[in-house]
Amino acid sequence: MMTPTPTAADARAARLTELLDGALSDADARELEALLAEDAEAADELAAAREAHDLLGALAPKAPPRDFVRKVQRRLRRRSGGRFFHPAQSPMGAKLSVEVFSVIAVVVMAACWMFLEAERRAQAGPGPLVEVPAEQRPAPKAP
Amino acid sequence: MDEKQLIRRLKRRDERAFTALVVQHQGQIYNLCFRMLGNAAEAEDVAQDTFVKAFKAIDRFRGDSQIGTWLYRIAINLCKNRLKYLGRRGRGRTQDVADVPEQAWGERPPTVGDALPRPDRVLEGRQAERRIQAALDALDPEFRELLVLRDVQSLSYAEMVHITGLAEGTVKSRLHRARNALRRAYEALGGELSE
Repeated sequence: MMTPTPTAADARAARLTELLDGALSDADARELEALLAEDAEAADELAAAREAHDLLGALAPKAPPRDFVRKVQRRLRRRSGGRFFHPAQSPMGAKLSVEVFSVIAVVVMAACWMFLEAERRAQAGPGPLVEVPAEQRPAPKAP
Repeated sequence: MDEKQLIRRLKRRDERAFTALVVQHQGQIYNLCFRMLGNAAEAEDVAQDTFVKAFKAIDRFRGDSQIGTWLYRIAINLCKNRLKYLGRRGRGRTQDVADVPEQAWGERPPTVGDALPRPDRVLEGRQAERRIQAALDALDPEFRELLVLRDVQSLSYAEMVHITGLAEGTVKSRLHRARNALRRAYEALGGELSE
C-alpha cells in the first residue's frame, strides 16, 4: 500500500497519539503539553481522542461460543477434503461420504439376499419330477 | 508447547497442534471479528475462516512475526472483505448488539452467591455498549481497523505496522483521526460521555 508523504497535520496528529498512548518521554510530553496550552484546537482534538480511547477500552471482551473449537475442526475437515490430518490421528479415520456408504450397504444387502436364496433352494432339493408318458419314453436298447 | 514447536507441528499437519492454536487464540480473534463486524454470527463465521485459512497457508508463514499477529492479519483482511460483501448486499449490521445472547457476550451465567448487578446498571451498560459499537460500525473500515487493533486489542504500533502494512507514522496519525471520528459518531448517536 502506498503511504502518502506525511504533512505537518499528519505529524501533529501522530504526536498527539503518542502523547495519549504514553509513548513520549517525560520531557517530550511536557513540551507538547505546554504547546497544547496555547492551541485550543489541538487540545480539543486530544480530549476527543482520549474520550474515544476510554470508550473503547471500556468494552468487555467477547468470548466465542463454547463449541467454537469443535466447529473450526469440523470446518477444516470438510474444506480440506481429507487432505489434512493423518487418518491415524482421527478416531473416525477417513470418513465415507453418504453416497459411497449407501452403495456399499445396497451391495452387501444384495449379496446377503442372493446367498440366502441359494441356501433356501439347496435345502428344498430338486423340484418335482414330471411324469413322462410311456409313448414319449425312449425305447430301451435291444441287447 | 512453545511457538516454534507449535509451528513445526502445524507444518506437519498435526491436528492436535491445530486445536492448540485455536484454543490459544480463539478469544482474541473472535473479539476482533466481533468488533470489526458488529455481529455475532458474522464474527463467528469469519473467525472460523481465519483459522482454516491460517492452517491451509501455514507453509507460507515465515516466522517474522508472532503467529498471533499473523492470525490478526488474516482476520482483519477477511473482516474487510466481509464488510465489502455485506455492503454490496446492503447489509451493514444484521443483528443488534443487544440481541446477542449472553453466552456469546462472554459473560458466564450468574451462580448462587454472586452479587448480581442492578438491572438498571446492566441496561445502561448494554445501551452504552450498543452505542459504542454503532459508532464503530459507522466508521470507515480503515479507521475501525486501527481502533480495534489499538484500543480494543491493545496491540503495539509495531504489530499494527505488520498487520496493516502502513508506516508507523501513518498508523499514529490515522489513529488520531479515527479516535476523533469515533468521538463524533458516538455523539451523533446521542451518547453522552461519562465524566
